[in-house]
Amino acid sequence: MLETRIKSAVVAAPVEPVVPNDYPNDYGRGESRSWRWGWLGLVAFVALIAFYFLIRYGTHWAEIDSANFTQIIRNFIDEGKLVTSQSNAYNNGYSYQTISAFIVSITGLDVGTLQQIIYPFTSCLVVLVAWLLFREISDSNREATIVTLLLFTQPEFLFVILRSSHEKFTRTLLLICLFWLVRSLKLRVRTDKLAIYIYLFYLCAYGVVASNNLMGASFIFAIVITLGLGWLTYKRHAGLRKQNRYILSRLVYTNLICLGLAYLFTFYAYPPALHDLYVLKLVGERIAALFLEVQAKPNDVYNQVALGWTSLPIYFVLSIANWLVLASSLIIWLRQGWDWLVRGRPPETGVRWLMWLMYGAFAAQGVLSLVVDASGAFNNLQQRLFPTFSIIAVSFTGMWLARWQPRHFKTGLRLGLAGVIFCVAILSVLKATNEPLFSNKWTFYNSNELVAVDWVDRHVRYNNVWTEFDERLQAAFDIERGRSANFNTFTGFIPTKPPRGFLVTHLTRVHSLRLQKPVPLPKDAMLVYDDGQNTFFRLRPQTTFQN
Amino acid sequence: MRRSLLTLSLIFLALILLPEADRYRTAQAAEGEFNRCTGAVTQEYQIVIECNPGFNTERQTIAVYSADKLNLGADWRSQLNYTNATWVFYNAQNPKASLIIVFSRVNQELTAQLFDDQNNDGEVSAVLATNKQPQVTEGSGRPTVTVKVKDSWWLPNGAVNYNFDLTADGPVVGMIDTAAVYLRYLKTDGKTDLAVHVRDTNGDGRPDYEWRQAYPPLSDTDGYYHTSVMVNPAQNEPTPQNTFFWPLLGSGANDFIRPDYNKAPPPPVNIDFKKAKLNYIVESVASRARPGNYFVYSIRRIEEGKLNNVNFESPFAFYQFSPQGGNFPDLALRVVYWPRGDFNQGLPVQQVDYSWRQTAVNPSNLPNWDYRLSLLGHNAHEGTINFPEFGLNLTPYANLPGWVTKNSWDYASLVAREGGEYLSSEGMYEWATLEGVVTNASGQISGTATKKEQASVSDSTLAQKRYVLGITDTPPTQYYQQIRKNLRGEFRASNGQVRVYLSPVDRKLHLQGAVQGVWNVDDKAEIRYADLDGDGYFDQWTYNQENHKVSSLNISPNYIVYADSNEATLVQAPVKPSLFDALPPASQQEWLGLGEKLGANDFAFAANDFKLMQSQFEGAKLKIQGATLHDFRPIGKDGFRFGLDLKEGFTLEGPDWAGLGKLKPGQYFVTFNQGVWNIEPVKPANVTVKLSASDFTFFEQAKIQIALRNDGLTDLASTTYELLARSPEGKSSSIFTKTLSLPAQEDNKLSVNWAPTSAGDWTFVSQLRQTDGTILKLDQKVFTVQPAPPTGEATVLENSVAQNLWPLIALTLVGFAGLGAILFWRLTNRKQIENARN
Repeated sequence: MLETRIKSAVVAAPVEPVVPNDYPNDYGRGESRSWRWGWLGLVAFVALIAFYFLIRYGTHWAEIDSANFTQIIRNFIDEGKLVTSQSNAYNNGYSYQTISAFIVSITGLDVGTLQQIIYPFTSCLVVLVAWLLFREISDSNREATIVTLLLFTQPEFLFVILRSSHEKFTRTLLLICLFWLVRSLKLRVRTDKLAIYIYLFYLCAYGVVASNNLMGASFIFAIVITLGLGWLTYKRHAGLRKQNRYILSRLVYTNLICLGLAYLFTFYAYPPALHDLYVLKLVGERIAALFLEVQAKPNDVYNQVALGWTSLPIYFVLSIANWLVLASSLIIWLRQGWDWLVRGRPPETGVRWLMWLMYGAFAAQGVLSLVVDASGAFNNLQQRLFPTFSIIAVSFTGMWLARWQPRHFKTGLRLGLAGVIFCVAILSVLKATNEPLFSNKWTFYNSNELVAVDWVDRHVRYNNVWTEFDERLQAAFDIERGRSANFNTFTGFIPTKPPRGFLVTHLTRVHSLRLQKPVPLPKDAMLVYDDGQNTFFRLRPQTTFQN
Repeated sequence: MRRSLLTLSLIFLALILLPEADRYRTAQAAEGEFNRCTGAVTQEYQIVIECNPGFNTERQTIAVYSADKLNLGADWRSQLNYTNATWVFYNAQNPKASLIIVFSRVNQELTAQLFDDQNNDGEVSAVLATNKQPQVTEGSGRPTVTVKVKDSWWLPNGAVNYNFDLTADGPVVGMIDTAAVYLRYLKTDGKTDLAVHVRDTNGDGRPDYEWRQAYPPLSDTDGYYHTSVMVNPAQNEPTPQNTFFWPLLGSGANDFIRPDYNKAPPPPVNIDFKKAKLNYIVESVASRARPGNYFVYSIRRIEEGKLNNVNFESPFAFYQFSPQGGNFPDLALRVVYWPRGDFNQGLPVQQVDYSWRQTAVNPSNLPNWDYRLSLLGHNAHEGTINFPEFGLNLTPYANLPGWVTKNSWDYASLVAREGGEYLSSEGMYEWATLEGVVTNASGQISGTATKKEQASVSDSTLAQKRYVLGITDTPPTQYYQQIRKNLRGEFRASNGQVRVYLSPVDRKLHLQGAVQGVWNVDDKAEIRYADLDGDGYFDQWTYNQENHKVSSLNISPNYIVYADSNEATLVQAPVKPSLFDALPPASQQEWLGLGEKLGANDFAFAANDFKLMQSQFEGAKLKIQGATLHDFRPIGKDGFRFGLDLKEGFTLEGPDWAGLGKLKPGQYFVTFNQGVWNIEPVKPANVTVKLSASDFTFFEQAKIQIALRNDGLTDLASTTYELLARSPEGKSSSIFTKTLSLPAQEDNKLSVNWAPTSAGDWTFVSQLRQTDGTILKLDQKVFTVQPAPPTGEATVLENSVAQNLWPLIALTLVGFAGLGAILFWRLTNRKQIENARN
């Protein structure tokens, strides 16, 4: 009975042309002309966020990935070659250091300045490509603007594009990649243009791989899952079959060629990326251990979340944008799935169907990342994947929101939603900037702390110096100063090699009380520096080797 | 290709049928070749030589294709061409070339290119070119070994010219780690894998030094041996024998290291003719097989034209002190040297292995060793060693033993051979001070070491490194406890110059300052040594049989106390700590002097004959039969104490200084201090604890001082002290645990860092966990922890931003959020949407 109903629904449903050609498109047909400039408002919105990111700590921000990349760029510039001899050479890709070295060369900027002050503002550029992608998906300037606005209220996404690591470019390239994929899928008549779009897609796909091989692999894996989902649903309905046929044939080639690009990159273009094979092997082993070994101890990443914030409720409030988008997009996705797969209504466009498949693919990756994180192979894979997922998810929520026409309390609801945007924007930025009122992971430092680090670096040599409960001051020194002039190592956490020197700043003591962790400073350590706020202690040497 | 091979094969068959030629000697060839080889000039450009027997082969034929025209009527021996010819070596009955050497000259430079089999088909492929000269096709025509020399392969005086530069490209062994690490990666690919440079500075036909540079297909930062240097300071290196026409070619070597001390060395380029493989570049200057040589094996690369810091074996030197020493070294001095930054960031670090033989004549064909000192230090080398091509920041060879004996060392070990032989070209290996405490080197080398032994070596290596890196201030004393049969080992944990002394008790050479020692007599019996009073000289000998104590000998300044299970004997006599002290021998004079002193005081005691050792000292003697003396310990300047268990029917013989005769059988605690004897019945251990600390503040580290004392008259040999802390909230946690001994009437002071995790009154509970698991509760103490200063959000805000930026920050926060809200408000304006649609 049900089958008959579905079949009749399929027959009755309006069927799209077998080879739909919805390009060239008149974006924003029937929309106000002023919405064409919606991106401008978004640029201003993100520029203000970037400005806040800088002035919140008076430009004294530092975090470990940005610090590592600062060192990587410096090594890259010093040695003038892709594969540097330094131990911290970046194994996953070369794009970020290459682009940064280029900028430094033509502008004469200091690497630290580029990383700390200039790069946060480049997040404005991400607005443009995101807006273009969402306009391509929705065919609407207005919808693209709303979706992009939602994307930039996602704290995880904001965090990765505000800081200065490869992710800034990897995410941008990913957005461009998706843009060319969507555009090329929409254009099927003009083969000359199609060829150019496809070429640009693969160029950007290589860009993603060259920026970060693992994220590139994750993107390719998502396309593989998309293809798999497409195949699973291929014969569901005649309408879907038509949408699927062209997409799936394209995705087969996309997968093969992207895999080929990743292979070329890993084995020929950038041999350090071979290290990623070891990482993948490790992931496999850890997952196997998680399920097969009785005594395997899963990684408690979620407990770490609790430790990273002053309280779990605060963490959830600050992450509210994530949960709202996650929940709403899931409902919409399920609803669309019901309509398209069960009720037999065909999707409006092939692109919408592709996005539906990709949502499923990235969601599946998210679920897998839970397992990988639990295995201990990574401790933040879920966090790394969520920004990519959110790019797809906001398109569902945003487009639904843009098309929603409430029957009652229209103004009140609009006002309420605008208020939600207001609050969520603030909460997300507070989370993305690790606001120290709520976060236990501090990413700021005082200039006089750096003065104390400088003093230590001038007065001790070849020392392992403890600086903080995490990498806060180590990252600050790496970004602002670079290598130690006297071969000192500034470490955080509880180092494997017990330190002989302890830099204890006022902020570290405040941090100690906040974390409820005592400073690991032996009582009889010698105080050798005190500027009123910051102190440096050395352990009394008991042997010549401890001097 | 096949046609060419056929041509070469036919030539070979024709060659073996040639008539025998006259034999006489030329200046260019050694007598050996002409005794067994015949030859003839067969064509204007060709000489054919047949050797029976061949060179490490049954028969051998050599075809010399000269580029210069030959005189058909003249003798072949005078026309052998080493400057412009191709030599093809064939094995007997095998029409395949096993080696081809192409000699050429460019201006003053002579080159020999040696081609071997590279594709494992057992031959060196070549074709005859149009000029009738063979052209090698094996391995794309790339030679495996190339040797260059100026002017001639021989000097004007007829001696071999040992000023040559050799490069190897392919699987040829020439460095200590080639075979183990990267031989399998070596290919004849046009890239040099090994460069060898040999120099004869005085032109006497004897190589004086050589250096080798390895360029394997590994990263230059990998830890392989990049450079080696071998030097003969006396410039008396023996010249190779068994050369084969060309003076640098030989066969039959089994290693690149010259093994024989008394045989002529093999030539440097070694080929296995049967396999058609060049396999070793043999040392021209011996690393080990000469008693006056030294070598450097460095992981850091030596750069020509520079003064270099080298590491690892830098240097490994040999010295001959004995006038009857033959060709064997009497001292092997190995410095495992890590310049500053290599190991410890602030200091150079080195392990010095100082093996010497004190007997005048070496008994075997390998050096036999009597003693070995291993020293850990942080001394920089003094001086430089300069060669025309490069310099080394190393103590010069002649000064090296003196550099060792004059410097201070952080800790040290001594190993002495007490039986059997210890034959080795490198000295003794046991009880190293930085490379792990090997207890049985033969097991480690042969791979038969047990897992426990291997684990002990890796654990001790880690402990040594932790000390050198400054991670710990505790020397790795605990690992110097076992040694293989026939060896005696001693360990000194303190810093100082290294000295040895002859004990008047056992007449053996000991390490001054050693805290402990062991002599493994026969894997069942052992002698343990201890320095109980810490004066740097052993004062306790204990004989154990299968880990059970049998007897002991204890020395105090005025008494020698022997004890076994049923007897105790006290001899009242002054005992000097040593018969003589000495530095380890650093010169022939010192070596002879030490030998004389040892000879003058020589007496061979059985390992466990403590009674005989005691009998050397004459004085009043008290013998107690039916008694067990135990837990002997020195006290004060010249006193001591011990436990004494008197059995039923015990007897005394000799002067009863302490009044033992009045005692009934039982357990007593005997003390002799400042000339006064005191005897008390044994009381059980009675441990008290005193805890003290400065003020405690919430989350501030504080030091807790723990003073333990055993007021009883029984030792607690091994017990575990535990300190528990009970928080104001009533939660208990262990904050300190240590296993220790608490001898009777002695203190043991400990300290622990601790940071309280809450404010209020904390109760500290001390307890001793006995080996049988019972717990002995000690005193409790309450400490009050002061609360920490408050830290609220205001403090965090105040410290996270400049105050004058607050308004701007707030404005920006509201600004972007407001802009976002306005954007959304405008974009969802339904009227505007509908107007646009219309």
